Amino acid sequence: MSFLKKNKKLLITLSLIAIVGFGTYSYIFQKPQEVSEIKPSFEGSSKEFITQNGTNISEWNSKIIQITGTISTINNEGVVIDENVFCQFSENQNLNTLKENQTITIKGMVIGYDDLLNELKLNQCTLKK
Amino acid sequence: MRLFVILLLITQTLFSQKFYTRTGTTGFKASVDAFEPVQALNKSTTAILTNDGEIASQLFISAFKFRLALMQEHFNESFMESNEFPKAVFRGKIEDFNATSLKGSKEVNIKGKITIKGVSKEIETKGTITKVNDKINLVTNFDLLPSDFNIKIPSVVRRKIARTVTVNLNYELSEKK
Repeated sequence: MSFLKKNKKLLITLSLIAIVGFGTYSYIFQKPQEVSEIKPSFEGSSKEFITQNGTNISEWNSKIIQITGTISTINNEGVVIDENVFCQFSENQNLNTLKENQTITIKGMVIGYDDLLNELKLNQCTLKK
Repeated sequence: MRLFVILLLITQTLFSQKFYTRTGTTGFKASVDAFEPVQALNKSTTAILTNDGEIASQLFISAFKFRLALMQEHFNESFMESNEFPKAVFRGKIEDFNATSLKGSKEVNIKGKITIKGVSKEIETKGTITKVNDKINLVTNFDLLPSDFNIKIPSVVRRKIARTVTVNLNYELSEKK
């Protein structure tokens, strides 16, 4: 009999253990999900979002939203939309093509309402054309 | 007399400079040797610094990024309860500081109140403040005890997390226009 036939049960058990072991390892050591891959919980204009929620956005904490608005300020930290939403971009985002007064759509994670500067704060933002 | 008061008010606004950042880096480490590193970085800290050293900073707990998703989840849900206490705030003063007269680097003493998970504590730490072109860079480290802020660490993971948490700040503040 061949090696495979003789040790069939052993090989199947070992393969199962390997698969379960690998699965558990992947689960335990998984990285946080990329924001760009998550479907947004809100899509619309930034003015709409602010009017709907105001400064009370605790239910939106860590949720992904996609908003459209006009750039009111742009600097090396990020972009301010409609004077009250600050968007911090992911490391690899190129901002050279953006200018003030340009209308853009951004997808990002809500981290909270900053009451030191009175603006909604988003991070891990990506540009959507 | 009235003209004098008006002039005084105008000069006040002209000279009350402020420096700020929305993307200050705050990190912390609570690792124990031989176990998985316990550390995270928050690159979305807001900080405002006035000309005479008053500093206010605020960060959102959910913006701390860990390498492992599970650790980030536990941190937010079990330890920090970030749904109930979304922010950590610091308000204080950098002693003997004047933004306009600052040249190069200076060792400073920082005193203030830090509020985490609804609990406030007075802290004092040393830091380095540097003027680079027209930006001000603030770097400081200090230790905190989770028990001081009602942060309970379950016995299951007790061995894997250091008793003292080291916090490090690195803020690059630009002038507010």
